[in-house]
Amino acid sequence: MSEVVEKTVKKGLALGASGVEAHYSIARNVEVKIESNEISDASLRINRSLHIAVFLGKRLGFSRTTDVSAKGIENAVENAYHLASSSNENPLWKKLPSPRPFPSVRGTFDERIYSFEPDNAVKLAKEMLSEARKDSRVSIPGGLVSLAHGETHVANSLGVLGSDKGTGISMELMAVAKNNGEVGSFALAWEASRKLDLNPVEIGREAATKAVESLGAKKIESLRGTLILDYDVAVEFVSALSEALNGDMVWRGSSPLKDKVGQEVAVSFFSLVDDGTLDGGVSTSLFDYEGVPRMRTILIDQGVLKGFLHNTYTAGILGVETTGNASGFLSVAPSNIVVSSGDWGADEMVKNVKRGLIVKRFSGYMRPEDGVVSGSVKQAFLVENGEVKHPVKECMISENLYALLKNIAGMSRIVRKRGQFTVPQVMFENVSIVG
Amino acid sequence: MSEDLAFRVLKEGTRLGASYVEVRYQEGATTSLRVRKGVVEASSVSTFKGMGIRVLKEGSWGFACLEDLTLEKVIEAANSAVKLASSSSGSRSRKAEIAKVNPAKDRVKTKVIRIPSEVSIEEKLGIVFDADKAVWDKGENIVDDSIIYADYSGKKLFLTSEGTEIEADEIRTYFAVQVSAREADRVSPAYEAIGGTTGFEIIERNDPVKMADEVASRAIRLLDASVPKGGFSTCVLDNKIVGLLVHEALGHTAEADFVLSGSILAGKIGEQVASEYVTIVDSPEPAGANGWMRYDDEGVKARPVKIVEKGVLKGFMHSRESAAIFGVEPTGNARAQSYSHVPLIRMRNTYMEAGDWDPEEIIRETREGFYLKGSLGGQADSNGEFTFSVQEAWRIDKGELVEPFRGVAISGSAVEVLKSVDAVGKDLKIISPGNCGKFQWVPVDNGGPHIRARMIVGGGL
Repeated sequence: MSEVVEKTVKKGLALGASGVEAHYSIARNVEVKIESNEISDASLRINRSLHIAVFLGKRLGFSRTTDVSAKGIENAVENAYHLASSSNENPLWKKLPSPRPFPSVRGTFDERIYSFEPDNAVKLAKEMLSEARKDSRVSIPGGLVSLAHGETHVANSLGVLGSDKGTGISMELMAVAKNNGEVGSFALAWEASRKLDLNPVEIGREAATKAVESLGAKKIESLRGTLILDYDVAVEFVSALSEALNGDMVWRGSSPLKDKVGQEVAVSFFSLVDDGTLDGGVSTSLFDYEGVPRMRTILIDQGVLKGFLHNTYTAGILGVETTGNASGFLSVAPSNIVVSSGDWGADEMVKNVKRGLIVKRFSGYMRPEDGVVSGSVKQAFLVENGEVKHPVKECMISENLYALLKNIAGMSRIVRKRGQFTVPQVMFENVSIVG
Repeated sequence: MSEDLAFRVLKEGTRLGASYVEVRYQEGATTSLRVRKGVVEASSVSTFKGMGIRVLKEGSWGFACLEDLTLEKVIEAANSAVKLASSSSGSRSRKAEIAKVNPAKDRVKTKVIRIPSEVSIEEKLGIVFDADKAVWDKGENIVDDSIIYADYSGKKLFLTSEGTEIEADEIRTYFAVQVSAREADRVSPAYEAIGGTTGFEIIERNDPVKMADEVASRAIRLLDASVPKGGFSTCVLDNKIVGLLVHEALGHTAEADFVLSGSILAGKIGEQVASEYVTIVDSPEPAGANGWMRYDDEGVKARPVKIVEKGVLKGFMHSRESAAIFGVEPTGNARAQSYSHVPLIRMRNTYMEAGDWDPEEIIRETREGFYLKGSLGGQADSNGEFTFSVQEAWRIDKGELVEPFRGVAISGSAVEVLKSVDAVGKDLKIISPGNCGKFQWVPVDNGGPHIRARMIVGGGL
């Protein structure tokens, strides 16, 4: 299949391009959907997409196509060429990446997913659904079991050539509990893996437990106290932070961290790494979108900012090396983000709280541009004198992401993998909660 | 060629025992241009062709899609779809049925004056460059911008084993300005877009340079605004926030699939869910709106749904399957993002109908509260609880706008907030273009007039 990208590069050069990059992906995905307490449908998707970049010096043009016949490739290369010739020069563009050896990665391909029968996907969905429905108060608005395998091929006119393949599975379930006319806050449980190792019963049980425990929510008075972010909310927090560590936001001047390399930006026990080679990581691969080898990049080390995530374009603008985080033409994205673990046992954290909240879902926004964290807490529980009292409703928090980073009071010893993020629970003191 | 393949698939599906087969073939091209600070950063042309096959067998759905459109591969895909339907049929407690519709044979075309694919790249780029220049002309507080132009033209062919044959030509045009201003640690983003099922004339009818100038001015103006203290307040909401409220907070809870899963509106038809001044509609009209359509992705003729009339819950939005469960006529709300997606119950253009207040009069008659204008997005739950981030806010004191604010978020429960509505403006506006991401992305619009209601206002950093 790598002949598709090789042909594309040749075609672009023959047209007179000074540089060409091609990226071809094919994926086969089986999905079983749950809707309104039923398995609603099962689908098979076979998708493919060829992406082309054509360079005429510093003029750039891009195209995509689903048609990889000789004629399809030719048309798409011509489309990109035409756009490049209609564009003006991008003075920020430096060069395409040169070939470099790829790392060896583990745990990205599971033969059992590759040869999986759709019938078995239905079975997994059924197990997850029936576990969640054991409690008659629980209703399931939606859910999904998805198994995929795919391959990626990349080539450029400087000699980069790579092929990679991988598998993945993800399962998610939404649950809502109803009791005596009360509708609880909706709960979500999900897991993703590269191997066939997810437990549908556990995911079903987690969704149901979360939905039921949010019943009986009470309004509370505004308070200032401890805030514990459970894993899913810690992911949102770290995800907003990783946007501010994105080289694209940095060179554009919209990341508040842009001039802070070498400075303390978080408490000394907080470290954060982007690891594109993590064993079995959801985003682990041999190379990024541009064919640059994946690597491990330390972004925050013991509270000190070390650097940012880059592709060739943003690295070129800022005069640094790419970190192998290209996610599309000119765009940058984290691979696997791993946060250091803390030294608190899970119960220990709650026991330490005089008055505060533990939050399992957050509905609002965490804005990396200025750090504004504003929104309602959902699946949140009042904790008083070391005991979880009751779920709360209509509580808002408004804080600042960067101030919170320096105000972390503790992190849990146990970290959990949620898709591409590995995070601990995170605790803050002296947070204002509006009831 | 593609039509022949589609008919072969219908035959194959039926031969394999499916009680219903539908085929969607789509092809199209999107051109998009993005300029920042005088430089074309990304310009692209994406072309696609693909087919989606959905079958109903033994009361269960199966679906397959592909882009490799050879006879062998599409027949294989039809077989997979039927096999997938069979594999899940045993686990359903309720067999899927679809409400009857009269098979339609029709050809639908988007009405456009200037076909965007016939406009040169140079002309499109010229407009984008001018708007970009207008942004940077606003001075040193501007730190980043993106001026985006995009158009789409495509063809959709929809066939069913019941005899429906619909061919639709679709055209969309879109233009957006994103600006970020900064002073010291304060940043303020601002955004505005125009677009819909329309040709290049939408660009010519609006003034992109003026729009860019206004967005940049707003971003700079907001740098000086402070953030308010939180609390429960009377709020006057502009058309955009009302649009978000009726779509995100109420609309989703009136989608029949969410109703079946126990949304806050389940079992409440005929009950008061809003104040008597409130009427909310989801409509396939008007022409040009982002959610405009003649037929949905199940081939059902689209019709308006009165969700709330004078405060009373009247009806839900349906697919053929949910209509069969509820024993009502389907409404034409089943929509799919593309051939690669299964249709889901989705909104089209959702809005609150106009009342009889002059919008300025609503502010004048408000003793204390906030005037909230524009939004940067939001979220809502199936129980109607919502949180929206507001673009611009002013404190109202004795009918006057006295102090500007930024960084405001509002939250509340849709039904409680709608029950508190005591003034509805005459100024109904449908805001284009919107986008809704309930598992899949589909173009929608929403809107309404200015209204007054009570809710939680957050901020207070």
